[in-house]
Amino acid sequence: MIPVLQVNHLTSGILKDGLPIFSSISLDLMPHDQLVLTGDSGAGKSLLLRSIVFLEPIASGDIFFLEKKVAAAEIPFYRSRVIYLPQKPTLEEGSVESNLKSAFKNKIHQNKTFDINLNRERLERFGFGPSFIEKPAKLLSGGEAQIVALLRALTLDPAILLLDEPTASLDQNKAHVFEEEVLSWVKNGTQRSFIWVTHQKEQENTVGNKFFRLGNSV
Amino acid sequence: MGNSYLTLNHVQVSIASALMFLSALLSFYLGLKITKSILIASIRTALQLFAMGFLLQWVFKTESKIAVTCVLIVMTLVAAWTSTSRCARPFPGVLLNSVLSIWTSSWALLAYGNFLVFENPDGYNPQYVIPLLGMILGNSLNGISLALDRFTEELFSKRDQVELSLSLGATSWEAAQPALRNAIRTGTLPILNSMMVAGVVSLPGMMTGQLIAGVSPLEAVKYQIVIMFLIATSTILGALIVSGLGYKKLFNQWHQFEYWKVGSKK
Repeated sequence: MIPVLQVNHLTSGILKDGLPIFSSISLDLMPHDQLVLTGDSGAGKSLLLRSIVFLEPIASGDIFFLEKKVAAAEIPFYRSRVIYLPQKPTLEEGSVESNLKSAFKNKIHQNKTFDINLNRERLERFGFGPSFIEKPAKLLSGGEAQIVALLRALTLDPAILLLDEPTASLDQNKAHVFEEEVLSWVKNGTQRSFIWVTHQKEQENTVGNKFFRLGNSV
Repeated sequence: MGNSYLTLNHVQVSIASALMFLSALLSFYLGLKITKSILIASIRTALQLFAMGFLLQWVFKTESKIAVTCVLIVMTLVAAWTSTSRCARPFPGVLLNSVLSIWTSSWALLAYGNFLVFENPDGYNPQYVIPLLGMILGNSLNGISLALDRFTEELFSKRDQVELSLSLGATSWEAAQPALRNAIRTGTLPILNSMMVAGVVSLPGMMTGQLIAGVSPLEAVKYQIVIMFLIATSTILGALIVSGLGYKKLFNQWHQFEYWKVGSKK
């Protein structure tokens, strides 16, 4: 088995008090790894996830996807395989459905088709009625938005999910369904894995099979 | 009829300036707090126009192409500087971007107008090129300024949307599309609006000037149409270039939006 994602001595390009927020971080993600990322507030967990998908400046270090160093020109492809879900999900104007399929207009996804039935099934598992898919995105609660953001990522069939406190605004019930959904997604593919940031001890044990703690400047 | 028109002497100009004193007095008594601005604006108008008048009088007489070119360059640079000075969220290189956008778009259309439309036999006659460039600059300056402002503001205030697109595999070009389109639309809106109502709601300044100077209305109209097209094309071109260059500056080859380069709101 080869690692799906390797982060090699990654140092952030963002400074706090003259020092990089995180420096020389290395981690490997093997297929079916369920990596739980913990650390104090401000340790740079979100920044690390954002840096892994190149949304933030990187001072040094390399990232390998399937043993290939990620090159600038391949970043759209890489980001279609490694999808980052921010703490506060962003939805576009329009219905839930138009949000779920919004990424298909990008060139990188042009050969994929949007499977509405699959998405309906997933929404049903979260306890949403059939009309939910037509609901305007701006009427969704924070928790509902997090679910839609997850389904929007899953429908693009990624290899890796980077989840930043994805259940923070969900009630316990929906949070469990969320965990189940992600865990069964990992099991049902050959190369799937995720990094999950959480502050809840219970969740760490439910979703994790590998743990990484981001220290406050070691 | 003929080419006669009423010339103005200094007393007549002073009678007009009495209007500004009345405005200033009115604002003073009503406590509008714009009295000072009215006076400063009036004085600036008079001084700047007189200065330009003297300069033009001299340039029109001189045979020196270098002198004419210098005037054109200074006009262009002042326009470029003005267009960035109001940019709410400046980023490194923004002035150079504006200089390039204004310079290319206005001089390209000046050349087109002067050599292809007017087929000016003197080639490079200050009587044509200076007012032409002035009119082109005055308008494309607004367009470029609006486009630039909208582009950076759009990217910055909708950073989460831009990053969402990028996170889902969009190229930086795809992710910047909404901002680019809105910027160009905003930049070209004023000139398109004034073209929509040209002649119906307003008689454009140059045409008015020609009519007063005794030019026949149909001749004046032809001039105005040509000028409008030059101005509009220059504005569209300028808005395109300034947004395109802004895109080049704020996105990098890693398909990153370099939000950290954009300054805070002035």
